[in-house]
Amino acid sequence: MIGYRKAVAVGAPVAAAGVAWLGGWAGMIGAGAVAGAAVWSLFRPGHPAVPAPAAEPAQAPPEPPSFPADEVGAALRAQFDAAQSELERLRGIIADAIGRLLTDFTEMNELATRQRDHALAIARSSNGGGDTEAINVSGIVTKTATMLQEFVTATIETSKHAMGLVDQMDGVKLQVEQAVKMVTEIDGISRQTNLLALNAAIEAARAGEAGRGFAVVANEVRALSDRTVQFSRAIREDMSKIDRSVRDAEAVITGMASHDMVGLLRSKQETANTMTLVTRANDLIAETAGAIDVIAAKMTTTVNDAVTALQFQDMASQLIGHTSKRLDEARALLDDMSDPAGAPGAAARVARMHEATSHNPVQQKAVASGDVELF
Amino acid sequence: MSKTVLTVDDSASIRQMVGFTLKGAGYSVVEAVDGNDGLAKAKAGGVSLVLTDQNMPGMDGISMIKALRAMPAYKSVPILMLTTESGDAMKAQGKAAGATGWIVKPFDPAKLLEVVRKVLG
Repeated sequence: MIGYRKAVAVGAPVAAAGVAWLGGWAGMIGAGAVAGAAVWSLFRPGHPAVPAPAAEPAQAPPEPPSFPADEVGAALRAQFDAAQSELERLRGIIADAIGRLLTDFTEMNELATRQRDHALAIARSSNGGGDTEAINVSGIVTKTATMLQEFVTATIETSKHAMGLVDQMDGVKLQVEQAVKMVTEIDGISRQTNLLALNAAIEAARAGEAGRGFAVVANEVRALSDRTVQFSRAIREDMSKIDRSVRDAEAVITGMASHDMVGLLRSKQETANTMTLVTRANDLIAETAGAIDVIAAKMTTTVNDAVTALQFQDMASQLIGHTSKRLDEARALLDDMSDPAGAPGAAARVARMHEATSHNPVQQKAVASGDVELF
Repeated sequence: MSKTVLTVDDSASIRQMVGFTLKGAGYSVVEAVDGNDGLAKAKAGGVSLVLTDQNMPGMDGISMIKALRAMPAYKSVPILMLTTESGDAMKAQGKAAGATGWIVKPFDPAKLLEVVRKVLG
């Protein structure tokens, strides 16, 4: 009974402390709370943990329940051991889950970083700052538009020049026709000269010896007339060739000059429209890449927040360790109560338990990033 | 060549998170599971910064700092505490042992990186 009374003095604060700290871990270590309540009821006879229903007045008061100390002690020890085992399992489960989550978050972050790098590369190339000339879409559009404009301008200029050439060819044609007419006149003159020379030769023959010298002149004049006709014929043939060449050139130049400028300008407009669409698509790519970059940056921030939050595992593990230490101390106290002969005094025992459990390594009440202090 | 950070913590997840944060910024990270392991890894050399927890089995963080500061090679190597402990008395012990700074868990990866860059110059 001495041990029993000592136990009463010790049992109340133990149970009160047990209820206080076990409250936060009720789901995990409910068995410990039950044990604490049982200790309380065991060492305070007449004050059961669960109030008994009101006794019938006519009946004799029921016998108070009997709790053999050895059996209760063994049951409590079993509960403490089970609670310790469950806490360890809890710690292991959380650590395993956090390890997997961290691996996933790490991979997510890596993917987000790679995604952002790709987006930045696209954005840079779209804006003309890419490392590869081939994917400088903005540059390609600008160069294409410039080349197209130069081509259209050159074509228009060529057409203008061709029109001028057509006019000049018309002039050449007229001059050739004039030359042909002149050759025809020369032919007429030659024929008349030949006829006159023939008449002169006839008259010279009639004159006999006196006309002999005149006949020689008449023959030379006829020979000159014949040569003139030959030259005239050659000139006519050449002029005919020139006329054909001029007409052929005129046809070609007219074809060049009569290019469908409307079609060309329409093609130019269509190409310009296409270039506008390409530019818009390019802008959209750059805009999308920028948005992806922003999202990736937010994702990195979110992953960082998650990494901060996931450190609850470390705090939870330390709190579980501290709770486990409290259970160890409570169990040791139970052992001392069962064998009071070798145990220190109640006050010393409680003080030892208090000292062993007073320092909780985790002061945080939420998962917010902690302070940083440089000495 | 990247600088090497020694992270000493009995929590595998914290070591993993420190590694995730620092490796992503280009640092090399060596892990140790407690103070004794930390001392052994530190003796191997090449460590530019030590990040250590306080409460660990075997040897705690402050004891390890004292042992490191007794080694000539670690007289001026920055050592940061990374712990759930936030009490002034514990911080004073850490400072007296030779800690360069104190970071209370949970840490924000961005802030941790900022501090690491600061102490490593």
